[in-house]
Amino acid sequence: MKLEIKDLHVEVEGKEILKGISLTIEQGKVHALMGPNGSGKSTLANVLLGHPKYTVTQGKIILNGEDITNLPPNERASKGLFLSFQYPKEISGVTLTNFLRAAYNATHKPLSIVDFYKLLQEKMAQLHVDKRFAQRYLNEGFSGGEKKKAEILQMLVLQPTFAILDETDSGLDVDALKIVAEGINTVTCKDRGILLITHYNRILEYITPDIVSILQDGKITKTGGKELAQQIEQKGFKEL
Amino acid sequence: MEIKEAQELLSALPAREQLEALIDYGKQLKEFSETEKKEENKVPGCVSTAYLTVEVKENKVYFSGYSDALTIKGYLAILINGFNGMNVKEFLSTAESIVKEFITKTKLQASLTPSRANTLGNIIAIMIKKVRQQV
Repeated sequence: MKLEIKDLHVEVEGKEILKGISLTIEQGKVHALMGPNGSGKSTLANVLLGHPKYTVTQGKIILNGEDITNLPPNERASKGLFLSFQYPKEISGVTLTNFLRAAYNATHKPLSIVDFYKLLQEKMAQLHVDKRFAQRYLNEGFSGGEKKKAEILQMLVLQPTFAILDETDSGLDVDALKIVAEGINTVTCKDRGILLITHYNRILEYITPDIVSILQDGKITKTGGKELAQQIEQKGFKEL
Repeated sequence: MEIKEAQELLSALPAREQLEALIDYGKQLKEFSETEKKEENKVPGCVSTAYLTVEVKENKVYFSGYSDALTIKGYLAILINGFNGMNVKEFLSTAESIVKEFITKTKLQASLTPSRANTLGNIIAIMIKKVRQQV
């Protein structure tokens, strides 16, 4: 099982952002994607889940051998793709419980409300999330760190095959970063692939990537092992 | 199942989902003997039909119950599964306050008709009365 990105070219409002990206994310592996601001990291994350703002002008996204380039986001999610947003949206009137239960039941064998709540409580405890969050409206009034934890909570509950984590570490203090990293490590297993998008080496102190790729100006400029992340930290993106 | 666990879940849910959860709990209710569906086992003051029996074995309480209303089945399941196996003395001294707290914390009255909401009080009252009669 793998998620393949083949020679992907993507435009936003007529401007080419991704200029021929090829990447393969394999099950059981953590693939870190690093790059400076504006290099196209979030564009890649969004286009993988089918954000309508982006236009694929060339190339393909293949999930387990199936071309999903033109599928709507909900179908991609049903096939096991997950995106943790860099800037999670607030949705007033929809509780975290109801949101997650609807998402869970749309992608899994539906659980009764009692069984779902037990599952949710177990995952919340794992992430040290206050029980009261279950009844709060999605992300409304959450701090930056709480929003990121809520994103990882979604991943723990939904158990996707491939998770794309777009700068999940941004806006987290050291303690929250550790908890979030633990949460990511919990779901990292032989059945799951992770594309971990980040600016910094910081989160990679807690999560060991199998592969590190560098994205600059819409192109993958280098791929290597975890040592590549350390080199970036020391030398910066330009020198590489 | 602990009553506290059900209390926590129901307190965290909006009214519509509370009813859904109550119906869900009702499915956990064990089968009730047809021969026990008699006048003396009826829960009084209940708009819908509800039955309750108790057996005290080795100083512990064991309830069985039935109702034709789905939400009442839920109440019965929560109370029966929560109290079954409890020591008689502990049951008699704590049951009423446990249920009182359950009613207050879950705010179930808001999502049920007044008669249905009162049922919970009726059920616990009859539970206590029946246990007292046996000890």
